[in-house]
Amino acid sequence: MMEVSILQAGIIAVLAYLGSLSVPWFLGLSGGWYTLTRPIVSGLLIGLVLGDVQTGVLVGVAVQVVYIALVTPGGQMPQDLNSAAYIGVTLGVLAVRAGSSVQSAVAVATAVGAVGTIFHNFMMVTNSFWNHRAIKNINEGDYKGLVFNHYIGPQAVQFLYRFIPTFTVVYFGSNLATNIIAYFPVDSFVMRTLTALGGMLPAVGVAILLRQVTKKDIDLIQFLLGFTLVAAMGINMISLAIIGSFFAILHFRYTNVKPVFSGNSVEEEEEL
Amino acid sequence: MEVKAAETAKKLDKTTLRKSWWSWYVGNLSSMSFEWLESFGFAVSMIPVIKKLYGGNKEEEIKALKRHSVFYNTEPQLGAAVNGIMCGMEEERANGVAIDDEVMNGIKVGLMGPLAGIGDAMIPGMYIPLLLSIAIGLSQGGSALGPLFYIVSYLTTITALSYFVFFKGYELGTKSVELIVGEAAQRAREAFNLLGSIVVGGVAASYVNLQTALSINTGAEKEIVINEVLNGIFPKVLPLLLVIFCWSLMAKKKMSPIKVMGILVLLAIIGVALNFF
Repeated sequence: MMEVSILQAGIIAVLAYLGSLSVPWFLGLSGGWYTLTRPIVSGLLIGLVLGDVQTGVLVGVAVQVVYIALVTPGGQMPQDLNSAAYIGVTLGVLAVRAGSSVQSAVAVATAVGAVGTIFHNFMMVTNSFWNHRAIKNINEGDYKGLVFNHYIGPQAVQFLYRFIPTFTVVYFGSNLATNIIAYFPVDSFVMRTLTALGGMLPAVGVAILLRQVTKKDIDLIQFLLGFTLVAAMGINMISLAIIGSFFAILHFRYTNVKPVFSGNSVEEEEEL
Repeated sequence: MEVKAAETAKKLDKTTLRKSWWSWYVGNLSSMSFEWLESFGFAVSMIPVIKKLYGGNKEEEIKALKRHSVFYNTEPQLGAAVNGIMCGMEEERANGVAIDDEVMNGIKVGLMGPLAGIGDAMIPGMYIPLLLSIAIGLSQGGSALGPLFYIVSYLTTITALSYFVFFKGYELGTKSVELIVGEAAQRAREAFNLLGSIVVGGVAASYVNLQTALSINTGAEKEIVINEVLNGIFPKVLPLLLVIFCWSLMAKKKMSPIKVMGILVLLAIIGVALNFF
């Protein structure tokens, strides 16, 4: 069993806040949402905080595959990745340390992500309060007020939305995980179902990506090539990326997307 | 730099432009709400520009702030091009070119949709999955190399891209959009799509787990394990079929990912109850 101290839970909760959508302090959207909140990154950080990098990365990577191609257009959040990445992955690490499978940790983290959308939607609603104050500042030409109502006010509230739930679940998570494992041993129906589900969920993440990149059904052959090279021939990901790059470069060089007629040919050349 | 025209022509210096880009880059979504999304992120990013061009003329300052706080929403990283374009237009306007609010707003509204579509498809839809796939491959056995690779490769390239398109937008105006939607850019996106689908095939082969515990007892002979038979036909055929099944539910039946996950929950419960898994 792994104990989580107040300090450890606090650090994980602050990281969760820094990685949540809207937070500017760590390179904004790019550094927060698209970096800190990727489960592969949160897994490393949680592993560092809890003193077990290996388990952290293993759980983080497994959860990452489920969310590999999550797109959140216009602030619509089908799954709250931040909760999955910090609350979910921490619970997963604790559960794995207590003896359950990495796959069952994936199922738990995904469930947390579905529930966590509530925190995001709270923020999207309450920020209207700061927006109306910002409009007043703009009408008066009050720069200081505008900056306050854009950065400080909304972020103070967002900190509470993210810190409190993450801290609470992570701090009490150690007991929670141990109790659950005690009630439901690894060979119980519940744990076997969670393990089976955790193994299947990454298929959804992969399928989301496939839907985005395949325009015609025949395009699936690209995916099948990658699958076959790894499943049947056992090559590793770096080798696969090199083979893939070869095809990508051929495509870039020798395909005409649409014939380019005269007009802006000069600009076209500049791009190349 | 150019001393001759400095007395009459107003020019945005590199420092002001950098400040504006940085403010947008970190703060675009800071006060996001369903109603306003990136409106105030845009307005706040224009503060350095407005102060520089209209400083002292409070009426013009307020007008410019209002102009840039209308509803706005795009993919922020690639969308920095629009901020650059607006900086260029504000500079022209401050120098007396007749550009009214509607023209500027029209360009913002006209570009934000296409850039959001291309940006979302390109960055979280394709580029991030590609880097993540490689990072996942590097993380084998729980190695920290994978996450470190992702952090460094994503942050350096995306920051450079955002900075680059911002300054291209400022220099070239609306012509800069050609860089993003033009023919070469489209070919590059298709090439990345190709690479992405190949690599994610490898991720699926390594991380989707589905096997059956079924076996057929033939009496005296040792039992036939179905999973081995299936893998003899094609390695990891069950995970492959599962991915295709999920894809067809989403692509053909237009189901949402959450619904597909719900179906998998049912499959897991039934499969375990029947001792299939």
